[in-house]
This record gives sequence, structure tokens and C-alpha cells, in this order.
Amino acid sequence: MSVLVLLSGTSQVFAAAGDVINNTATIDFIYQGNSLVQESSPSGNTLTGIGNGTPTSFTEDRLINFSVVSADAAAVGVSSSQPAAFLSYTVTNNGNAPQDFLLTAVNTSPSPFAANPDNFDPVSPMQVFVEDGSNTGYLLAEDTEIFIDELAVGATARVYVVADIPVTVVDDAAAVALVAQVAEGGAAGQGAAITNDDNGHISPAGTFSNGAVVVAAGTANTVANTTGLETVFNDPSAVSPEDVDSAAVQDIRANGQHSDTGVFLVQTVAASDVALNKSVTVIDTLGGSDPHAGATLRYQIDVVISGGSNVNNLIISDTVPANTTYVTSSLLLNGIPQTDASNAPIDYSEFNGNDIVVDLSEGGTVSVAPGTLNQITFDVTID
Amino acid sequence: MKKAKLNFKLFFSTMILTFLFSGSALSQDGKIVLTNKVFKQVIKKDKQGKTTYEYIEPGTALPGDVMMYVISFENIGTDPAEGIVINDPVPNNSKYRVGSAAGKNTKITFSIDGGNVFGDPDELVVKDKDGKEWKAKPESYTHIRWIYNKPLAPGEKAEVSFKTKIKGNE
Repeated sequence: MSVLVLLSGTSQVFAAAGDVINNTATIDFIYQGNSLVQESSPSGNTLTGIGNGTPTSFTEDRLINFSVVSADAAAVGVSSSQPAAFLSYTVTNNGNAPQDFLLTAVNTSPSPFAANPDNFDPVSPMQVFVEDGSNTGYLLAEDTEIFIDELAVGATARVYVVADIPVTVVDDAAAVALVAQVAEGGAAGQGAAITNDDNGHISPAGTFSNGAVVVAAGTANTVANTTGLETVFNDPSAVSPEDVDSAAVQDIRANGQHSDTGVFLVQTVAASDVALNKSVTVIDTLGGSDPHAGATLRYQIDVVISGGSNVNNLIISDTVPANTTYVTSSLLLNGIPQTDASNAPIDYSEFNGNDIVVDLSEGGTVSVAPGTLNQITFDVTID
Repeated sequence: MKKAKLNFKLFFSTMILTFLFSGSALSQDGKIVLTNKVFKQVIKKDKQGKTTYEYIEPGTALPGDVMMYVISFENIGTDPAEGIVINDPVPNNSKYRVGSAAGKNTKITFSIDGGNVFGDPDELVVKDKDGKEWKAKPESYTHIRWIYNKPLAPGEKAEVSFKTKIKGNE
């Protein structure tokens, strides 16, 4: 025997939190020659007829389960001093109810890309924004939401950690974890963080929504298992040690949070210019400005740094001109007298018999920042 | 044409059943107790690593959980009950678990069309849009029917059961 039914489009109805799952069985039987029908009840029904039974039912509990995954296949290349560099992540709701998700970025270590160990942090505070769906990639004008609103069951949102990169050198790396904290869904707007389930699991404390929402650690709560609606945390634990929670501790299972880590990797350093502006003033023996023999020449060198990064190992030297004689102890740095001797760390300047030498790096320990002006002056007399 | 003929037979037998039922307007309460209980299946491993199954009250029920329904019927009357047929829809948000329907002294059939037509698993066929026939998947069953193939004597109790899985993203 063959039974034919046309296949209709089967739409899988997802069991949703709070759904009551009902079942009523019926029995048909013949008793004393009468055909009867009777429905079931959980405690045993003895009344015949349709409508006299009671469904056997229980409530589908609320499963909190979601994942955060770095959407960058490798470290994201940035430049030293780059503003608004961003890392990309996805947040997927694997639970059975729509949820909001609060977001925060946390500096972490080690880098998941071993070739470039984590050795700097982006400028604080970092910010987190949610992709609005118009154009993939962080865009200031478009991606303005600071939390994920109403992420449907099975849906994924794209999230950006946006940060300014400080002055760095090539191959510097910064590991940053995006942490998502589950929050109440069901209505538009930012829901309250869900910091405990009904089985004793809690979330750690944290600050979310670019500093606007401070969430205290959850309080452990154990509710007896009933046929009513309960909340069950079942979010996964960290994949790697650097995948931390909002308290910067490795993320554990069933705490209402999940995280993954991306990396900023410095690939270019914007060239900096060192400008030396040298000028000379004649101070003659008669108080005028005639450069005759015996007159003093006062040289001034302005050292100006421009560009995007610090300058390391900056040493300025200038040869005393021919037919002149260096005036002992005339060397000044920013108006401060320098010794002629090579006697660091008393100072880092000297006159070595031919040249004046000023080590602005102070023996390689100081980087000179862009926008800094250093003034060096020294005197010579015309032979 | 063979199939159409067989379908007609089935239709005809359904008509007889309908006629039999509609012939009685009498209600005779208190002869059968029909009880339907639901349990959640919990998988445990004993010290030897052997898997055991426990069935507990469905306190926590989440997508993917396996539930077992146990339907018992007891004759508390004075005469035997005959022609016993148990029908049960697969509950909402749930999928029937292949091979799970059980019951001593019963013939078990299934429906995939909301309880209009019942048949053995091999007989339940669906057609795709090209007209090709496929055996219906157990997950698509809508109803289960147990035909109890003997009378139930006074004081006698029997039971049938089946399992479901709560729908979810597996």
C-alpha cells in the first residue's frame, strides 16, 4: 500500500523560549457495545468525550548561547599614530530567544598570532560600534550603535572595535578582545544585562557601551527546576587564553559572556622630518654687527620635528667654521648651559675640538616627539 | 492507477470507522483511565563508562532535549474494552524520534498529513516538485497511532510510548 501526500514547503518552527509544549493523546474503544473516545490528562482522565482531557505540558526554557568570533583572518595592518583603526568581529545568537548584547573591548595578551607578540595597547579608551548593514567596514557616519539590539535567534551581527594607534614602530602588535555580554531582548532599546541564570551561573563585572553602562557582577541564584520558564546560560568557554571576559580573566563557560581576540599590527610608520634651521648673528667688538676679526658669531640651530612618529637616536652636530674659534662654554641647549666635556650623564653635549655635538636622544634613551622644538646656540670668534 | 485504487480502499475503511463512532452518542465515564506523562531523557555514564538513560521530570527543557511521552490506559470498568486505538499528535516544537514509538500488543502506524491517513513508515511517501517519490522522514510525522490488538480486561493496564526531540539549531 502506498500513501501519497504532496510535499509542501516545510518550515521548521524553532522552539522558542517560553513556548508551552502540549500533548493530548486520545483513546478510541468499544465498551459494552458503545464506541467511545476519551482524551488523556497528566494525572489520568476518566471522562469520555472530546474536550474533557488536560494537555500534558511543559515550558521551553530560555537558552542563552552565543558566540563571538574575530572576523579578521590575520592581524590587521595599521600605521603608527593612525586614528580610528578597527578590528572586526561577529556575534551570533545561538539561543532560543531574541537577545540584546552589550559590548566592550579589552586589552589582552598574548597575541593569537605568535609571530608578533603583543607589546602595546591602543590609545585608551577604545570604542565599539555595530555595523548598521549599509557598507561593511567601520564608517563613522553610519555605524553608530554601541550595543546589539534585538539579535534574532540564529542571527549574526558585525561589530567593530575602533581605536587610535599610538606612536609605534613596525611589527609592534596589540591584541584586543571583544567581549559580548547577554542582555534582555524583546523590546527595542538597550536591555539590562542578564548577569545570572537560574542554575547558579553568574557574569563578571564590566563596563560596556563605550563607558556608558557599568554592570556589577551577577549574584548566584538557583531556582528549582519547574515546568515554568527558566534561564539557562550555556555560552561556550574561551577558545584561547587571550579570549578574556569583561574582568580581563579568561572567559569561562556559562557566564553570559563570550569573547574573541583580534590584533592590530603596525606595518608602516609615517616618515618624520627633522628640520634644522640655522641662523647667525654678528656681535662685533664695538657693539655693531660688522664681522671683523675678533667679532663674535652667535649660531642658533632650531631642531624641529614634524610628521607622524617619534625620532630616535637624534644627534645634532655642527663643525665650527674655518677661520673661527669656538668660545669656550658658550654651548646652550634650550638656554641651558652645556659643558664642553663629554661627560654624560651630566649633560649630553660636548665640543670635541672640531664640532659641537648635542645628543638629543640622551644616549639613545629619549625619542623626540613630533612638534618638539630644540634650540642649540654656540659662539665663535673670527680669527 | 494501482495507487489510486489502494487509496480508495483506505478511504473506504476510514468511512466505516467514522460511521461506527458516530453511531454512539452515549457517554460512559469511569471505565478507562488515560494518563499521559512526559519525561526528559538524561544521559549519564556510570563508573565503567557505560551510558545509561534516566527519565526525569522536565524541569529544564531546552532545544535539542529528548523527551519521552508515556501514555497508559487502564480498564477500571467491569467489562472488557475492545477495539482500542490510541492516537497522539507529535507535540508542537517537537520532532518525532525515529524508531521510538513502542507498545506491547500494538500495531504502530504514523501519519504525515495531520492525522488523515496512517501507514507503516515504508508506506509514507512524499513527492517533490518534480513528482519524484521519497520515503517520508520520521521527523515529518505528525501523528502516531497504536492499534491495541486484543481486548483490555477489567483491572488490566497497558502503556505505549514515544520520544521527541525539541526543535533547535542542532
